Amino acid sequence: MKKIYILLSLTLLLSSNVYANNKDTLTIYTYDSFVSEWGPGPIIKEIFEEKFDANLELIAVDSAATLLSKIILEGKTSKADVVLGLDMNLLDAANKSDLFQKHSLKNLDQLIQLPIRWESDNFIPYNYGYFAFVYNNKKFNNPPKSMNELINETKVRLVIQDPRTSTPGLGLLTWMKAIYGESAGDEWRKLNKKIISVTKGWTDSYYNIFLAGEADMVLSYTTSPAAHIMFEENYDYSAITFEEGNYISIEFAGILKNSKNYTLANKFLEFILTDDFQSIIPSTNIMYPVTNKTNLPEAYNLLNIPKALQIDPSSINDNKNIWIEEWLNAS
Amino acid sequence: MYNKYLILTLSFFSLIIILPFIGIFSKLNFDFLSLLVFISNTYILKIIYFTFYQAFFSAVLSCLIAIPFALALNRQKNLTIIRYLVSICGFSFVIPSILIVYAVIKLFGINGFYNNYFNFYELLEINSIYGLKAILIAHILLNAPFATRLFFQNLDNIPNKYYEISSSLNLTFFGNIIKLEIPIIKQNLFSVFSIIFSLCFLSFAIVMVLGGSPLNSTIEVAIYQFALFELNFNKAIFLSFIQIFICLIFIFIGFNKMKGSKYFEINNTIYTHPYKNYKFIKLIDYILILILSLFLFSPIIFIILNFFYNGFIENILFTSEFFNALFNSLVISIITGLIVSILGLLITILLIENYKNIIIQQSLFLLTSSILVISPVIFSLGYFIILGEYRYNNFFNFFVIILINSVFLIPFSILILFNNLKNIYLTYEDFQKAFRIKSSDYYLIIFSLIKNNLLYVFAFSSVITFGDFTIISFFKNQNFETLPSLLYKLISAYRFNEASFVAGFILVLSLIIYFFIDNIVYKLKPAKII
Repeated sequence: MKKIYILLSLTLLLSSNVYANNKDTLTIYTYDSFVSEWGPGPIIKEIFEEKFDANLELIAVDSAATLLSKIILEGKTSKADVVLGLDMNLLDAANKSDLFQKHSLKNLDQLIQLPIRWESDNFIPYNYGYFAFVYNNKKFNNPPKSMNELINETKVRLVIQDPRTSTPGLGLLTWMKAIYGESAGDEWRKLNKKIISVTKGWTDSYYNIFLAGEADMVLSYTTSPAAHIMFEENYDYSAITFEEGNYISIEFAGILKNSKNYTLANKFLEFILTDDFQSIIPSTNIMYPVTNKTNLPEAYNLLNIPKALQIDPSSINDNKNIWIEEWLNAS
Repeated sequence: MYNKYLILTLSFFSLIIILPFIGIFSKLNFDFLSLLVFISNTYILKIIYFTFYQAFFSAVLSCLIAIPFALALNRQKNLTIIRYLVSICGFSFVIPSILIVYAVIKLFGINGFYNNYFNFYELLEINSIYGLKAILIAHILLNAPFATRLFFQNLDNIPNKYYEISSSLNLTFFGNIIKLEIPIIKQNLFSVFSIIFSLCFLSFAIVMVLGGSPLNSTIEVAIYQFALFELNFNKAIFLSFIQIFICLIFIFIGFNKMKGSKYFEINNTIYTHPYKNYKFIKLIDYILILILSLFLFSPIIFIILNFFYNGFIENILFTSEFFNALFNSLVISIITGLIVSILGLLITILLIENYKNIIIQQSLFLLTSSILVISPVIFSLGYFIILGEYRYNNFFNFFVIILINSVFLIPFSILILFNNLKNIYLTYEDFQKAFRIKSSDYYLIIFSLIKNNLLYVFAFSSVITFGDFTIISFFKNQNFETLPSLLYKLISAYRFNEASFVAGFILVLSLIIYFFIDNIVYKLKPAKII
C-alpha cells in the first residue's frame, strides 16, 4: 500500500509543466475570448514582446463579467500588472476597489476618438461597441425601429442575458434605464412577455438559443453581424439601431497598484493606442478601435452606427442592485 | 496494520474537505442582520421552492419512465441488443450536461427536430419550452436511463425459481408485475429516487441555460452568482448550508440503502421470462423499447449524427490549442480515473477490513460520501482562494482539478466496488484463515475477481472528468484549457462550426472510452452469463 501512495504522489508530480524565463514579464489578466487563438491576444503578444524585449503573459481569468470580481478576490496576492477587459458599467466599482493606480499617459483626449468623452485617469480605453438586438434578416421581417416599437408592437421571441452575470445583460438594464428612467420597471414587465430565455452569459444565448433558431432576436452587439460576414461569409445577420439610441460599451485597461512592473505596464498602455494594437481589434475582438477608424474591415461598412447612450458610471454602481431588484420583480 | 492507513485516509479526506471551507471562511464577513434580510427575501424563497419542486418532479418522472422501460428490457433481455441498450443507459449518466443542453434545444426547441416533424408546439399550444419544461426534459434524459439501468439490475437479480413459482401459480402478466417485479423494484425505488432528486437538486449547467427566467433558478446557480459575481460569500455559504441540509437528508437515506446493490454492473442472467414469447406482449415490448430508446438516447444519436454530418473541421483539428486542450483533458481524466480506482479500492478494503467495527466503518463511509452534498462551486471556489498566487501555476491547476474531481467521484467508486469486494472477501475468508495467507497477498489473489469492477470505475470516472466544465472554469487560463472550456471559448469567439466539432468530439471520444470498457467486461464473464 505504501508503494501505491508513493506512486500516486509521483503521478501527480509528473503531470505538471512548470516553466520559467529570464526577461521582464508583464502579466495581464483579461477575458477568455481575448486570448483565444482567434482573438487579438496571440498577435498582440508577439508584437509587444518583439518591440519591448519583454515577456507578455496574458492570463484569461474568466468572462468579462467576472474579471473584476476575481481581481478583488485575489486582492494583494494577484500576480497581475494590468487588467484588460473591464467595461463602463464596472468603471466606478473598479475605481472604488482601490486596486488600480493612475497611468502616465498624457493628452489622452487627442489620441482617442470615442463617441463620448473619456474622463478616467486610471484607465485607457482600447475598444468599444454598442449593445444591440441581432436578428436573422432572412427569417425575421420588419425589425422594430425603436425600443418603444420592440416593447409595444413587435411580435418577437427574444433571448437576453442576466444582468447579474453578464456584461451585455447589465448593458440592457442600463439601456432601459437610460431610455425609460423611473418607468423602466413597467417597460420591463411588457418586454418580459417577449423574452423566452434569460441566460447567464452571452455564449449560451447567442450560440445555443439564437443560432439554433429558438429566438428571433438576441441581445448582442451592433458589430456581431460583421463576425458572421468575416468568418463565414454569411450576410444573414443584422443588428438593429434604435431611434432612441443604443447603449455604448467601452472596454478599458488599467494598472494594478501592486504591479511590480509599473514602467512596462505603462508602455503596454501606450502600446494599446498604437496602430499595431488598434488595427487588429475589429477583425479579432469584433469591436471598434478607439483610434484609427479609417482602415476598418469591409464588413464594418455594412453596419449602422447608432446614437450612443450612456449613464454616469457612479450612478450605475450606486443603483445597480435597486435596478436589478426592479428587473427581478418585473420577471 | 490497517489502522495506520485508516487514520491516514480519514485525515486525508477530512483535510481536503475542510481546506476549501477555510478558504471561503477567510473571506466571510458575518453580518447577522443582512442575513435576516436575505432570508426574508421573496426571490430567495422562490428559488429554494423552485429547486425543490423541479428536483422532485424530475425524480418522479425519471422513475416513472424508467420502470416500464426496465420491465420491458428485462422481459426481452435474451436479445443481444438489450445489453447494449443497458450499457448506453449507463452512458447517459456521464454525458457532459452542456451537451445535453445543446441536444435538448436542437431536438425539442421550436426549431428543433421534433417540432419540425410533428409540430407539437402548435398542437399543444406551447409558446416556449424554456423554464420548467426544458429543465424536466433535460433531467429526464440524463436520469431516466440511469434509473432504468438500476431497476433493470434489480429485476435481473430475481432468481429464476421465483418465475417458476409464479408460473406454477398461474400468475397473469399483470399479476407477475404486481406481485413479483414491482416489489423487487420497490426495494430500491426510494434510494434511486433520492439520488436522482439530489443530482437534480444540485443541477447547474442545465438550469443555467434552460431555466428561461431568473425565477426558474436553483440554489446552486444562486450560489455561483453570489460567490462569483457579487463576491458575497455570506449569502453563498448560507445557501450552501441550506443545500447541504436538504441534500443530506436525501443522500443519507439513498446511500444507506445503496450499500448492498450491484448497481453499476450489467450481469444478465439467461433465463426466459414467462411472458417473453406472448406475441402481443412481445409487440408492445418492442414498441416500448423502440420509443423510449429513441427518446432517451436522442441526445446521443443527435450529437453523433451532427458530428459526422459536419465532418472534420480542419481549422480547429490541427491547431495547437485543440491538441493542448485534448492533451490536458486526457491527462486529467486518465489520472483522475486511476486515482479514483486506486483510492476507491483502498477505501473499500479499509471499509471491509473494519466491517466488524461499525462506528469506524460508518464514519469513513459517511465522510467519503458526504462530499456529494457539497456544492462543486463552493468547493472549487474555496480551493481557488486557498491556492493564492499558485492558482496560475499549471502544476497546481492539474493537481487541484484532479483532486476535486477525484474527491467527487470516490463515493461512486466505493458504491461500485463495495458490494462485490465484500462478497468475494467473505466467501474466501475461511481459505485465507486456513492457509494463513497475509492480507496483502490475499487481496492480490482476489484482485482478478474485481478487476472488471475496477475497469468500470476507471471508465466511469474518466468520462465524467473528461466532460467537466464546472471545476475547470475556476482554474483555466490561456495556457491551460480542457476540451469543454475550449468549447465555450470558441463560441465566445464566434467560431461556431469549430465549437460544434469540439462538442461532437467530446461526446464521441467519451462514448468510445465508456462503451469499450463497459462492454469489454462481458467477454470476461462465465459462460452462464452474457
